[in-house]
Amino acid sequence: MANSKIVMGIDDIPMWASIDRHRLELQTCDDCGAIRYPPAPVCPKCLSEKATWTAVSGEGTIISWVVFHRKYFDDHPPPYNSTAVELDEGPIIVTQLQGDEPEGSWIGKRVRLGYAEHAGRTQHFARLIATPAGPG
Amino acid sequence: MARPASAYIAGAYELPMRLYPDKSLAELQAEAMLGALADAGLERSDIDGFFCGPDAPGTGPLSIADYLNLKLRHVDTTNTSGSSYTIHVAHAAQAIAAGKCDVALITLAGRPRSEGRAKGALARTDNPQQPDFQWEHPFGLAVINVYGMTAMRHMHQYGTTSEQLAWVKVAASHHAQHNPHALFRDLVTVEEVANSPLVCDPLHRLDCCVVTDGGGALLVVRPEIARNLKRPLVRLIGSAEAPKGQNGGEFDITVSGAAQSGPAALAEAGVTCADIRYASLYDSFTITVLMQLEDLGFCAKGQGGAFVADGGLISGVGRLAVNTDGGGLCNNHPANRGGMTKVIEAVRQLRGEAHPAVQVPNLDLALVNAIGGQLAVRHASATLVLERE
Repeated sequence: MANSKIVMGIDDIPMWASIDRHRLELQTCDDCGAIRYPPAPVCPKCLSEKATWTAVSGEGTIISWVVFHRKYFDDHPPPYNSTAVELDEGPIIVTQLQGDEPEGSWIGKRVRLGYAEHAGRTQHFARLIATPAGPG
Repeated sequence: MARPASAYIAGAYELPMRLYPDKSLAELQAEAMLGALADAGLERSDIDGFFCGPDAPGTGPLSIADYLNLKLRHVDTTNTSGSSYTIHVAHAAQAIAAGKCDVALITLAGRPRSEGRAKGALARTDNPQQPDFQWEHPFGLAVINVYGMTAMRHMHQYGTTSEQLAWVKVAASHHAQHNPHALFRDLVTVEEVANSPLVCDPLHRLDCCVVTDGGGALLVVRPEIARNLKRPLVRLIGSAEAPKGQNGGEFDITVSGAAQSGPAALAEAGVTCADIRYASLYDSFTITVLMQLEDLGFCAKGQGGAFVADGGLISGVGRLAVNTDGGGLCNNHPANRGGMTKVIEAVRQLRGEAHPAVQVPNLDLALVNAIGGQLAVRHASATLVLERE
């Protein structure tokens, strides 16, 4: 067994550099305005190659989650969660919920991204925003 | 809509064992071919088209085609993971209609159980050049996570329960008890499934398919050839495929590509779900079956839980006979790719050669659906409609 790895293709380098600076930046298409994820050399909507790396607000809504009860990686001892968050800017990303966990379903809960060292790299994670649940 | 190019599945063979510690992949490929040829009553020299996936060792189709000493004029290595072999049936029919081959061999063989994937503990080694894996890494994810997230969302959105999902496995176990080759032949109860250890909450161990060595082969042939053979005639009358991904970050994880491929294949065949009494549905996990039933149109979206509950998928008892060989959940999931065995059991049913305890009487139509890849984030749905003439 080994540690989990990041996905670091050429197109991903600016995103991971932004995570190192504790602010998640994604590409905004210069032509149609679409914000895309994962990073890609062209806009999936309009195929434009022009884009600007833009910081997202870091807030979003949980659309689903799981809790692993098996060990797959040394740096993720079970139980651990993975959580899909729809950012307010649109794209769905996967992260981990840390800190308080909701009672019952996590879906629809509002979260804010934070950043932490993990296995020698910086990663984002999510924490619950202490407000009533948003729409699922 | 016009009927598709007409072609027949003349040979179908499933390797009998579920563990092959002492046989090479090449040997398993050869045994699968020999089994299908014997089943059809054809000779190796009849084969002029070859379809395989990346489970075939070597460069695309070249090494195994040479090892089998095939004399070919058409090859196709379309790879959509587990649904590849289902898609190969449709592509073989298209190649035959285009005059590119007359007898197409489709093979699958793998040894994940002998090679150490059985415990599910090995992390998948992903290619960092594959951009869409960003969605899953580096947060400790394995293949099951996207299925788990789909199940969790489905439960939240539609009230689906672990007990309803468990019925998919219970039905598979009812069928597998009659299959002497099945890996698991013991009946299980809803409680046993729902109380089995959580692997990836909400999915339990018994919500997951088996890991097996093995494989199989199919022979898809031109109508004139099929009619000269002694086997019952099983014709492909509709097919469609639908890759589905992350759509630039905007996607609904509770809808599979079957929502596209199912209606298209049924329309091509000129039939509806109400005409179908047997279906082979890819059962990588229990949730996969439930999603396909909804997306294919056997029930409304969100009603899959009620459809599968109370024995809904048990042959002779339920609403629709599904996976009467025991499926991937109990019988076989060779090479971690289930699209081959799904076609084989549908052929058995249409020939009237399924086990008598699970055979659907006087069956003349069957539907096959496979979901290859990972539900939610990257998969290809493949639908076939088969008819007994």
